[in-house]
Amino acid sequence: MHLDHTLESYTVSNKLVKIRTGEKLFFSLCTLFIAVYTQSPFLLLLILFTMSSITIWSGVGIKHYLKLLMIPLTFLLPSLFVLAFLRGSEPVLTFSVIGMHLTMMREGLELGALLMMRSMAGISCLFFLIMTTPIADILDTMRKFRMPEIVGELSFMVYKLIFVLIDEMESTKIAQDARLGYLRGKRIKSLSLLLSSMLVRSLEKARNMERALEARCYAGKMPSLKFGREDESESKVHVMSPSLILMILFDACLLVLAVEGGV
Amino acid sequence: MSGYKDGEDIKRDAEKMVEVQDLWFSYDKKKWVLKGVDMELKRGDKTALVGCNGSGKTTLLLHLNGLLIPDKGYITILGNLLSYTKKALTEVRKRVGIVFQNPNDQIVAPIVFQDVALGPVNLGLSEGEVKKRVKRALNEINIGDLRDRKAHELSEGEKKKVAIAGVLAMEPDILVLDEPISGLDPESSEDLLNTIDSLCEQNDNMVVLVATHDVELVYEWADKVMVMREGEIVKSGKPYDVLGDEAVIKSSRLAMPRVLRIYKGIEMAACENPGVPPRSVEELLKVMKGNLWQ
Repeated sequence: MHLDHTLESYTVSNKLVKIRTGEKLFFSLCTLFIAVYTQSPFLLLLILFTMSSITIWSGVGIKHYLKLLMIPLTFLLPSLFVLAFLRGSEPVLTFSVIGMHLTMMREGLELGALLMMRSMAGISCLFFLIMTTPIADILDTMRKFRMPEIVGELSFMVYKLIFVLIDEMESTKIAQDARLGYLRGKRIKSLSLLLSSMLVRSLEKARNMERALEARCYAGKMPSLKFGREDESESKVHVMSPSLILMILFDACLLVLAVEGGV
Repeated sequence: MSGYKDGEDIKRDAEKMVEVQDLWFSYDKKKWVLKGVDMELKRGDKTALVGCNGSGKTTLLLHLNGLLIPDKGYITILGNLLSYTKKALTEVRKRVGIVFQNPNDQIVAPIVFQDVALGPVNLGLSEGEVKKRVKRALNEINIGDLRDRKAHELSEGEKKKVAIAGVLAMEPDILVLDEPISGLDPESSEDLLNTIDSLCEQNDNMVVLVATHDVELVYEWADKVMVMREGEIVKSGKPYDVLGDEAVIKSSRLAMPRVLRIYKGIEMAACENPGVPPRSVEELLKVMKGNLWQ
């Protein structure tokens, strides 16, 4: 199973799929806002833990979730490491590399840790959203909040074409492996061939897709999941559904804690 | 929607659903891919366009709903000359539905019903109407049970059907299928052909055009056959007349259907009064039995 396919299939088959997109969007963005606002490491960890648990519980699975969390982590860690050398005045650790003296500072280290927790908390909020809600539905809801059409259309196309790229990469890689393309000494050449052929083939695929979409009068609108629901009543009856109340309560608590700053 | 209603009258009157006159086209302005194609599709026809790879079939099909603009020539759909303004194109794309060769290029949404709804949603139809059309399109080709499935989990044959449903949801008058059974196993292709056949029976007014290089399929299925060679239609007519023409078939890098080849063999050897040429293996067997008993 491809990575893209599993990711996309979570969004349509998780336990939270019945909850309205607006609620999930609201919950995730509010929590994200609190994560950006608060200075308390405790709150950040609470957010990270809660959001991750919900996402994992909804059907993603802990193993895959942690794997996905590693992706942003590889970008974050190096930059935070650098931060520890730049800020503050109280040295923690000094060492020299090729004649250069490097000093790790306490303040920088603390700032780095806080930043790290904040980023992870924020990422867990967004992960919650993208792993429980199909992209078409997120865009559909954002459109209702006056997001420009062009942004929605572009986002969807970019999202779709990422998968086209991944697919092409996989099939080209297999073709190269089958002809021993990645044996020692040939790696760089094979990689450059992979990239160039990927570009050509992806363009070709993108053009085919564009034609097929055009043939069906595509005007930038992606059908949302609501077209699959038999009974419309279900989603309209409760203005305040239990899930929404729960979400609001959780966010309210967080907000109070963040503003009070007690923890 | 009023524009569509007006057009409805024209459609009923026009015997010729599609007319292509002297169509010339080139991708790179150096080599002609289409060299003066003339073509006519009549209401209720099951027409097949045969030709080897690279003979220009797909290029011709892409012209039928304005995806490509010809360098020279005219296309008339339901009595209206095809023009290339945005409004006219939307109109013509509602009428002419193209099912592409590779369903993976065509299916963009993660769930089946979502993809089938794509056309109607983009036409700006109401939620109720969209749901109705999705349901009808899925039922028309008997895949109602696939509605909530994930598109990437489907088999190749099922994907083809979903792609067809996506086009049917636009309620086209002219259904164009590009290589509908290439890449399918025998059972799936048999199944798909039956689906297309029952579709034709349900909609008397629909024109179905199939482009393929599979002569066996064409001989058994089509009412009318057109042979394309290097951007030209070299012969068109009844399946027996066209596919039985050895010179045309050979020069077009195609092969005569087996049933026809065997039949021609016996016809020359034994039969005095062969009657109607057989179109399928079963019919051929009947002819052979009849002759052996004589």
